Amino acid sequence: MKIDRRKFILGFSALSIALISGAGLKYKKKNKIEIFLSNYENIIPLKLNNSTSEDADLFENKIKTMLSKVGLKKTIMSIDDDIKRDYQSGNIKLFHGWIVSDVEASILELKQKYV
Amino acid sequence: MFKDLKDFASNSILSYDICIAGTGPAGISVAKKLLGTDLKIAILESGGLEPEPEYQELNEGINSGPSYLSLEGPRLRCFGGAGKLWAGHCAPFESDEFDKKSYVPLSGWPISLDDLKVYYKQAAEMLGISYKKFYNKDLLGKTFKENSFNEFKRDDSFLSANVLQVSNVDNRDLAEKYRNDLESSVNTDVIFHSTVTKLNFSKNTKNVESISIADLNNNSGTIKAKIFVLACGALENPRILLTSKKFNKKEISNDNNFVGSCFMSHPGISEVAEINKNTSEKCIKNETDDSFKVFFEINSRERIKQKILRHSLGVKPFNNLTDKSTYTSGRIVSEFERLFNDFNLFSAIKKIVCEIKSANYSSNNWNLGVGLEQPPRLTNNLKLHDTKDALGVPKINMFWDDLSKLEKDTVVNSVKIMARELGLLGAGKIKFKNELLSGQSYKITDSINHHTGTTRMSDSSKTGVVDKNCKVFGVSNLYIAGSSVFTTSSIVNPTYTIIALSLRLGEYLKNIKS
Repeated sequence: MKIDRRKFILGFSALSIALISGAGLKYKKKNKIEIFLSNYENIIPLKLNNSTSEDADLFENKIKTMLSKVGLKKTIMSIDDDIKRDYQSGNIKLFHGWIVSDVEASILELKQKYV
Repeated sequence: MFKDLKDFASNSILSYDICIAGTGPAGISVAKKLLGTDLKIAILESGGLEPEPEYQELNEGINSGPSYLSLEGPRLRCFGGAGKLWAGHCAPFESDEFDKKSYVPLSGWPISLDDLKVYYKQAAEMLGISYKKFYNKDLLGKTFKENSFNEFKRDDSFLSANVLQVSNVDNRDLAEKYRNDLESSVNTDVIFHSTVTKLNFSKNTKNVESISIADLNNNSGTIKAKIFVLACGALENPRILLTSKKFNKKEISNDNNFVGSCFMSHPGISEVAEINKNTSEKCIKNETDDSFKVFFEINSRERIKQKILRHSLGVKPFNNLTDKSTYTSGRIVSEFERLFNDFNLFSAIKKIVCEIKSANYSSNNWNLGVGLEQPPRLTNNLKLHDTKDALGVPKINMFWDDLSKLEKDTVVNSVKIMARELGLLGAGKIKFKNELLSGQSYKITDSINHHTGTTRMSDSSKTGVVDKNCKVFGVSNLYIAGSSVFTTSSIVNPTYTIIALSLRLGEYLKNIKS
């Protein structure tokens, strides 16, 4: 079958636009919290379930407020500082046997909600 | 001169200035200080020049506690004693270990590190190691690198790296090293096959007048001396004392029951946790330096703050294919199978690349084991059993208890603090093994055979058996050399400190005799 050159270019362009838009939509579909959480992908190598606690809700509200007030970058910097402070002062807990900081544990709880 | 009990007429009574029982690192170190003086010395060895099974059987005893301690394996009745079994690992105690700690009952030595420093230096010379090297910061830095934990270096770290120097085979068996000196000394008799069966006290029990010795061929004798030194190890020293009437608990001395009590060793709990490092897998070139080994520990500042004991944090990578001697093609296949089963193709390739480069593969996943200092506890004790050995001496009845809360807390908290250090560095995470969380890993069936504490040093007979000069409380001429006098057990191998303490005792005896 002979393919018309014009049709081929048009078809290829349409496909590319669709792919790019799809990826964009997918990115757009992530809310701020999810983008925040994607910075903490590798806290522990563990498949999370979807159970959450009240603490996770409190932490979620805190992060939402921070994200809206100071933005993603400053929120991450602030949370990273909190994690270090936890480790320095011994604010740690066990999460499925893993030793994590209190703040990391809250992040993991929150991640479970968004699984 | 070398002699044997069978060379003497039966029931001979032999007289010396000083009689040392035992030719292990403690006995030889005491003797070394006294060689060359005009003192007439007897050094008694239960066995012969080499181990003999029938004499080894004299070590047999009974375990009655929940934890099992091998009573036979780690002790040799022959010239050189346990010095022939020792791997040569040396490290001094830290200064704070001599202090009393509120959270460790019965802690606190009547001496300090300063009292031992000069003897640690002399011991280092004898063992062919360098005292200064223990405090070499370059070596400590190298520790992190050698353990593939270079990225864990941090100012103000919670971790410290401890150096164990290794005394080589030519230096660490002190009996062999000084054999010619002992054999050629006209004032010194090393008498083989002369097992101490009893201490014979004066009527007022303030002096040991003589000791009874015997071999397994019905030969026996008596050694009279002005001073006696027991250097038979932390299981045998209290056994000899308890066998002698004075120290049997209902007799005149040992009111506080410390003879045989406060036994300590260094139980190790392997696979306490796993470390998952954030860094990538890599090949590390072998830098073989057999002269030292290292282990991690929570530093003394944090340790005291957290109220935990001394310990060693041993890290060992998973999936390490470094043992070339057993590296057969069959093993390669099984290793591949295992890795493919785990869907870890990348690691498999990386390992093969490391093998080709003749380097060690450093995984992201590491096992973490914890070795423990034991606190002095009256419940860990050695008593006499109703059964007797071939020489008619009651056998040892060993009660080694489960780990105490303080020991368990040390395991858990040391791992947690290491996890905090890793967290601060963003270097990785630690997960406790399920067995530990359920308490199973606390079961101890093995120790590193570092027996200590059974005739402990103290400033009072109310809390110990010997004073700061290793003299037995209440007896004017009986001294004890070896790890049985340790007040606390540290985490480092005891032999280096045994030698330092024994050199100090030898010097003390030389001075009082002169």
